[in-house]
Amino acid sequence: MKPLSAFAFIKGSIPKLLPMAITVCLAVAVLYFMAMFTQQINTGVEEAGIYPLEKMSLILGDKSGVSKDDINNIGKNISNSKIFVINPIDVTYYNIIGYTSAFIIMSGQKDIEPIMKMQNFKLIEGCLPQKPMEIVLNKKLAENYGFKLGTVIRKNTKGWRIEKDLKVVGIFEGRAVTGMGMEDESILKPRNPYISLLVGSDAGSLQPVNKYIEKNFSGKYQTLTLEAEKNTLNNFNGPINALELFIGLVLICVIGVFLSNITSIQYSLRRKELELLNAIGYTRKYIVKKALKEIAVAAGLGYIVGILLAVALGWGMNICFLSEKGMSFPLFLGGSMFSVLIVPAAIILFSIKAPLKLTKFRDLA
Amino acid sequence: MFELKNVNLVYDLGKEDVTYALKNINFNCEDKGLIGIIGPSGSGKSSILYVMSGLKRPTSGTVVYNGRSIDKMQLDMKAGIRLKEFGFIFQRGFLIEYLSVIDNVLVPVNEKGIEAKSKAAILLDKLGILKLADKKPYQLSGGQRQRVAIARALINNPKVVFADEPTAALDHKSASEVMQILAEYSQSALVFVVTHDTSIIGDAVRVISIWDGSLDLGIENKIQNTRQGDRK
Ligand SMILES: Nc1ncnc2c1ncn2[C@@H]1O[C@H](COP(=O)(O)OP(=O)(O)OP(=O)(O)O)[C@@H](O)[C@H]1O
Ligand SMILES: [Mg+2]
Repeated sequence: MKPLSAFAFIKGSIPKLLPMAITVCLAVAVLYFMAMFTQQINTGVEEAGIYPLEKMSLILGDKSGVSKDDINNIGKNISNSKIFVINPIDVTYYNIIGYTSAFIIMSGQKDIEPIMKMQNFKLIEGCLPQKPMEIVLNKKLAENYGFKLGTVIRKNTKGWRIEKDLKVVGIFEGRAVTGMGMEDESILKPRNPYISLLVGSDAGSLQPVNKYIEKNFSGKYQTLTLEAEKNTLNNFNGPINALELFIGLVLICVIGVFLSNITSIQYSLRRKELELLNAIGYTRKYIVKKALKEIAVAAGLGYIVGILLAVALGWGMNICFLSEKGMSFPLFLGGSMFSVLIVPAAIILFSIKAPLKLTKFRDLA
Repeated sequence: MFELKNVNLVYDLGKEDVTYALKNINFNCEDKGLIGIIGPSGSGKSSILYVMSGLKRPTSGTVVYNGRSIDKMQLDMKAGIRLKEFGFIFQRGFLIEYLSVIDNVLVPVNEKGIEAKSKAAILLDKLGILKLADKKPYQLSGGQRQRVAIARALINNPKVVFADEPTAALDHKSASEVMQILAEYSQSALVFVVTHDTSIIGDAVRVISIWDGSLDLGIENKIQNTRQGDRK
């Protein structure tokens, strides 16, 4: 024989609120999973962002329409940098996303030696690429992956996401760029055919150049700066976040309306119980408080189970097939866990309506 | 203990739909004893209990309990009196289905500690249903449920018990057992029993007959006189 603890009174009514707990659980699971998913995409996008070429501060595409005069003007103002006028198809950026986020520049130029020189890369083993899909690797990267001269990096090599096999023909020492290669012209993809100004470095010494170009030319030409690139990423995040917010709000409203009806019905079925409590002398405040507590406990349980469900799902996906692609869902996102709390909070708000209404005992009390 | 003065209760449900549930009720009673309230269906028996216990506010007139006007009290204060000084037994028991028997008995207790629990156990034992303490209401018979309701009504040692047709759902044997318990309790407290079955209120010190919202003083005096005669 167990005595009625203050909590048993609430605990007993939780099964009656099971539909609510389950709905909260599912909504929380969906939203939290979406948050993990977005976070994963964001990391992917960030990894794919540009790695600046040191000292190569400005690349002008030949379709950019930047006038000779302007080129001279820029040249005068950026003493420690060089300006290259190239066909934008000559340099493409090829991102390989993996645990270490290797970044390989693939060039369509037949001779990549000038770029190597410009970057102060020192070839220490092998030779420069002579044929498409041959690459030279930064020594550190090669060591990280255990690659040697002659190694063929394949599509299924762990941590790499490439469209064609790459053959390591040389190793160099240098900073920033982790690898360079000669591109197969058939898959060359210019980043932007009308690329006009690419300010490729956020190194401190080049900040004034970035500023200068942005200030004087961004209105005149299509300018692609590192900041702009970052903004593009942010713009990409924006719609995703907005979409997530939208889905979240719709979900909450639909569930809220749906649930407030269900809780209404459930509390109507328990009207006698509420009236009984009132009749034997409990105040409306006490009864509504009890209802609030049981709703909160049910919603809270739903929330916890929902988060666990999403984490379990993300974890399962990580170990089953994301990890071999070099990706993983981040499982613990404090911020998102907090913002998903909006679901139980909204549900509690929507649900308390029913007991509030039902305890307006017309002429009782 | 109770004093009703010119109490009227009108259910006004709109234009023409007006019911006079209680008409000009005047009535006094002492601190102890079993008081039967009889009358046909719809005569206002439940209404008079509701008005006395503060569950309904009279349309006019006053209800004085222990010198205080119940009808003029704040809601919370009335609720407090109901919780601590009144006990209620309803027609069909009204137990909370998801609570065990003992927990149902403990519902009106604010501090649900060990002390309250042992008190509830003593009550259940007295009512002969201690072995059902951990059962859920749906596992009980009508008579057993009603006993649980009685235990719940008595758990706070109320000064007044309001029993609205406590035996309506019971067979004759269970009914007289229930009435015996109430009669015993009425030796130290005031117990109102509403019924339309006069045979169960043989222990009443007084019987009030209500007819169409008004007290039928003729019957009351007659029965009262016989009772008083009996006691002398
Ligand atoms: N909530 C209400 N709204 C309108 N009229 C009501 C309401 N409750 C009771 N009445 C009316 O008031 C009158 C007295 O009702 P009351 O419940 O007191 O009768 P009763 O003597 O307890 O009847 P019964 O033996 O059937 O329980 C009846 O005519 C009833 O129709
Ligand atoms: Mg009645």
